[in-house]
Amino acid sequence: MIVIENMYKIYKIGDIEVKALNNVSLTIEDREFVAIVGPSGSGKSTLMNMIGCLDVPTSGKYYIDGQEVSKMSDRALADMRNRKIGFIFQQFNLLPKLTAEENVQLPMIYRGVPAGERHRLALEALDRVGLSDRTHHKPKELSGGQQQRVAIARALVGKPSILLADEPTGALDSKSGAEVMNMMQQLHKEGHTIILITHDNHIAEQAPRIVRIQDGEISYDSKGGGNA
Amino acid sequence: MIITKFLQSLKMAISSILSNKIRMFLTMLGMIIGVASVVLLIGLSDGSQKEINDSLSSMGTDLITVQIRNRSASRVVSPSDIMEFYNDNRDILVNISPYIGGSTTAKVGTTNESTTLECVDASFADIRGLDLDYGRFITEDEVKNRQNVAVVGTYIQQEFFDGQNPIGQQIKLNGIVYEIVGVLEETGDSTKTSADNKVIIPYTTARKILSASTPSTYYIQAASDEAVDVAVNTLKNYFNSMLGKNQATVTSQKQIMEVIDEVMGMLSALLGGIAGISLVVAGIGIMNIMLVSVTERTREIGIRKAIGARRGDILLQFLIESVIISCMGGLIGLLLAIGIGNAAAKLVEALNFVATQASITLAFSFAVIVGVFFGLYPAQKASKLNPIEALRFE
Ligand SMILES: Nc1ncnc2c1ncn2[C@@H]1O[C@H](COP(=O)(O)OP(=O)(O)O)[C@@H](O)[C@H]1O
Ligand SMILES: [Mg+2]
Repeated sequence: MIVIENMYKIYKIGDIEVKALNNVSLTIEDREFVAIVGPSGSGKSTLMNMIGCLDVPTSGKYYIDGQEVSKMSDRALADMRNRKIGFIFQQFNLLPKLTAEENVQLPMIYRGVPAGERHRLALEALDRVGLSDRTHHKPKELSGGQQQRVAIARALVGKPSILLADEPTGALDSKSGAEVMNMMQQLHKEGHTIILITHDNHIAEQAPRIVRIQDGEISYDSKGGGNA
Repeated sequence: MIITKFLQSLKMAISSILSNKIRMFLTMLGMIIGVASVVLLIGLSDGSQKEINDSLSSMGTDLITVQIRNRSASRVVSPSDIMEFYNDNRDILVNISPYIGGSTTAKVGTTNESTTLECVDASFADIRGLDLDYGRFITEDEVKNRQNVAVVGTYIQQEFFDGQNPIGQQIKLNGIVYEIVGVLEETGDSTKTSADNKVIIPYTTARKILSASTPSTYYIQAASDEAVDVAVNTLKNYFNSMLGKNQATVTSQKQIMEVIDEVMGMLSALLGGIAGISLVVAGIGIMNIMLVSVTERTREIGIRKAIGARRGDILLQFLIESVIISCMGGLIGLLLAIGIGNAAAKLVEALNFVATQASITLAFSFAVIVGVFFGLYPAQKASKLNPIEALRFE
């Protein structure tokens, strides 16, 4: 479960303060599928960085499964990302020199899982995204949709509590995009918590819960009956 | 778990090096040249030191020489005084021989030849470790009885006897007839100017040939290498009390070797140090390339961090890479140095090369230290990258 309480992220450029997050409070239960939408510059990526433990807030509190993330050290944040978060990026962000299987193994390497176990888990994850026959392919030998599925397998492999997807269909054609969204739906049905960040309302509408963000503030939350 | 991570970092570093072979080889080249020059210079210097030491110790490391200055005629030490002292110190001294050096004209038939004359006791052969090709050395009885017997060098044998066995033949030294009883083994190249142009006779017969016939030099053999220092002190005290301070110089072969060792050690450290500078330059080259590599791989670092790599993981990955480059460079340099050194020693006679374990260890560990030291800054830079900014990097 994710609990964000009165979170601020303020960037100071010279004398000017930009409140990228302005008093955001948000609770996301386990097994929820939430879409976070908003126009460019509204603070979506900043919020994603916070949820993904890539950054720490200027003030406010953030808990994942009861653990307070907002006060964690660099090392503890790395371990949180490794164990609790699975990232799916717009640009896939696979390592180009590694094969599909090696890419999927990466989170397990940083968790210190032995090689045999890693291999087994990676094949299992690739199987779930329907790529068992592409394990030895390098990213450039795969289509965009396939690359994104490898990225999803990589996000899944460590069995994290949260799947965090930032514009996962943004770099795909509509057919591959639809495939990826189907997969999201499927994963949600299987019991994963999914947070989807998008500027596209059509994509957002596929999620049971929509949170709209504007100028760093939550302006709409479908769960809260229309307002936050 | 730590081993798993380490092996993984090693694998990543190797694959990163392999994917950039030419660049990595050029980076390594500095290390190769650096290590090769350190090992080569130290090896050549150690080689000549070993050569000098070998030739010195073949003369006997237990050898002591006493040189008496003849300034005051009022106080003298006669050979019999010294024999008495020698007999009192049999526990530390095993052999003693007076030595009078000079030159003389040797004549056989009508042939004349000027030669070096050494007038010594029977024990001289043992003290100096002399070996003979023919016959025997002069005996104690011959010395005692002042018999005209001579041991000659190979040059004399060649010149006067056409290389035939000259035992029993006569040779005139300054007109006095001596009987040849032995021929020394060749030590030089049997030429006129070499150490093979010499005649050795009993010191008791020196006065028949030379004007200065009182021995001022003594060759003494200590009981063992360990006894040398005690023997030197005892001898110094004896001559100080007999002749007054500093009237005799007592030197041991061991002392001479120690001085040579020290000088050569300094030389080898100096050469190694100069070559060591090239290792530092090589290290800067590695740092430069690693910094480029970190910048090029910023996005990769961002991805790894997002996935859960700790700072330490990233640090290790880059550090291992620079250490591998240094170690491989070091290893290649080492083999190169050993190859070149041995080839050079074979081709050029004056050169000697020994790659000691010390110089190999020194050069190699220095290469590793350089790799770690100059790899640390780029690796640290990589590990401290902000993942958000790194992910945004194109
Ligand atoms: N590193 C940063 N330094 C300064 N300002 C930033 C930084 N990151 C984001 N911002 C500002 O914070 C606001 C929110 O940015 P962002 O979260 O990237 O928006 P979105 O992802 O919704 O487009 C923007 O006004 C942006 O300019
Ligand atoms: Mg954004």
